[in-house]
Amino acid sequence: MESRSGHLIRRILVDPKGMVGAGVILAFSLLPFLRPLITKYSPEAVGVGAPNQPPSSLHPLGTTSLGQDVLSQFLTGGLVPVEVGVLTGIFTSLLVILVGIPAGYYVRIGGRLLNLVTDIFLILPALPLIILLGVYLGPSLLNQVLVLTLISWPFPARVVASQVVSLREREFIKVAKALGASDVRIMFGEVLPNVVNLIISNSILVIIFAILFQTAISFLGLGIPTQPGWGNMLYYAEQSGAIASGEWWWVVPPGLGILAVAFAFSLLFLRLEEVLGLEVR
Amino acid sequence: MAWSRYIAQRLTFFAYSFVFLLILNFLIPRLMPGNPVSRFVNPLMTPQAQHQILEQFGLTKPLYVQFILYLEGVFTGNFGVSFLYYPTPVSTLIAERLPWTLFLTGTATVLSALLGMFLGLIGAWKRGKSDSAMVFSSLALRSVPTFWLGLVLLIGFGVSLKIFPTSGYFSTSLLTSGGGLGAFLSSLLYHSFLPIVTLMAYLVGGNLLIMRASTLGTLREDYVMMLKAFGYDDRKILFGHVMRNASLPMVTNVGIQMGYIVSGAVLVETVFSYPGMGLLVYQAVLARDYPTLQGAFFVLTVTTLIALLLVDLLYSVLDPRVRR
Repeated sequence: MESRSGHLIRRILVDPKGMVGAGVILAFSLLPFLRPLITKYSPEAVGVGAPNQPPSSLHPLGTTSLGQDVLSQFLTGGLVPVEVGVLTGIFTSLLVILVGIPAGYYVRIGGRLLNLVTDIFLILPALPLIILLGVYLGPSLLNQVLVLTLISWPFPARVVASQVVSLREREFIKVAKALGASDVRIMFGEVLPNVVNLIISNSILVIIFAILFQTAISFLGLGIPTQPGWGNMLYYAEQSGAIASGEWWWVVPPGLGILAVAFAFSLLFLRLEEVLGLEVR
Repeated sequence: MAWSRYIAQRLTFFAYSFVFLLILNFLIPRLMPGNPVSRFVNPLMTPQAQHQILEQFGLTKPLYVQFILYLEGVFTGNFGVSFLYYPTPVSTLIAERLPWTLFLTGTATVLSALLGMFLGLIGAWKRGKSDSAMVFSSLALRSVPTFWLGLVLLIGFGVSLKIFPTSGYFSTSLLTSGGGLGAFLSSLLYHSFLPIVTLMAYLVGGNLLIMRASTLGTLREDYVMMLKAFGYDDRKILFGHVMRNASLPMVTNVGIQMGYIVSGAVLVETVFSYPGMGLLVYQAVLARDYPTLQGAFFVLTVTTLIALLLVDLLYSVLDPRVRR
């Protein structure tokens, strides 16, 4: 297993898409820890410069309305979205295994009920539901992950369920059934290994979705106020009137960061589909 | 499948979804950790004032009575009174705001579907450099956070270049001068331009990719080869035959996008201070205006359900296999 996953990682990285994708994600995950080498200002420190200053040699990305260093905030701001994104990807994959596989495996009422619930969740508009739950739950990293998981799972679950439907008719499943294997054993011993690639590649799509929505709900003021993140930066920029006064240096970098990370995960997704042989084109 | 059976099946599904939504909307505030009461009541209030608020929300009654009252409220359009715009009823606020959101999302949906269809069709037909450039930029566009794109466009075209207005949905000066319908419409389009472009940026990418993939599939069909062999004009084959057959997955995709469009509208309206449902939700979040949030969530979800039902109907009209 160790050598297999090592092999997989090597195959992802030999391609420019995989290399650039992984490199950008790694860079933004390490930058918060390398920040002291790049700038001496801490992201939270108030009044390290005059407020609302455009980029200068002292502050390469200018300052906020509280005189904070924007560069420092930008460098640390990727950790929270990536962390929330990856955790949501993991939580969602677990839920997809627990719901998607039985939904495809059971033909009778149980499976149909799971499919119905999946379809209903699929059409609920994500952001209004996230906002409603977020307001009641209050801000915390775990709450963000839970709410985003609740919104993310239906699509991959549906993809996996339809794959399981076609697996169900295959010989090896019928053989396992004839040999008297229990449903649970077949689902997790025989079916799961055959859909695990699909679950992994879909989890990358979930990560992209979760990163974009994490920053969006933080921008709407439902973020974790104490944690530096790109969404929070944009929230404070908007709240202090940086848009109306055209302070682009405070607004452009965090968005480019989100764009870079989301696009890096898209590249990784494309490469992963090639490596795992999931391409449809 | 017979058409009537298809419709019956879809209607049943939407009925289930609606019942689920009714229950979800009721349970969310009541199942949240801690006492739901603590969310509504300020501990500094006098006990009488606290009790009065609880009574106003019907939270002092047993759960099943609360549910019946809740259903009664939903079906009579009574979502309580807004905290933020006290004492305006939530339903009044929603009725004022919903048309503008429908205008914004409807225009963006239709325009991005048409544009995505056209570009995807051309890309798949021509292949080569311009095609891969389009695929690449579609992927990039889908990684752009919608609200941030709005902020950047607002700073660039609104604040710096002063080409477009930075807030509102029409010039309020028209209210006093009374410029007529034409002046109102042009002012509305002028104010909606940047919000619509922002919403479209994400949607066009997805539509383009879907249309391109489905066109590539259609182009491989025998009949296209035959039309070519008969010497039909390329343009005629593409727009006369291929487009129609390749568009079906697009209709499905528009349905899938519906939930995203609502989410996008909430963000875009917030950025551009466009007074629709999205801005209402944002203001309600900041003010912790629970009744408004609850009502807005409900109405937005029901609107999405209706829009999806319309997409399903459109699909059944376009696809003869369903219509038969």
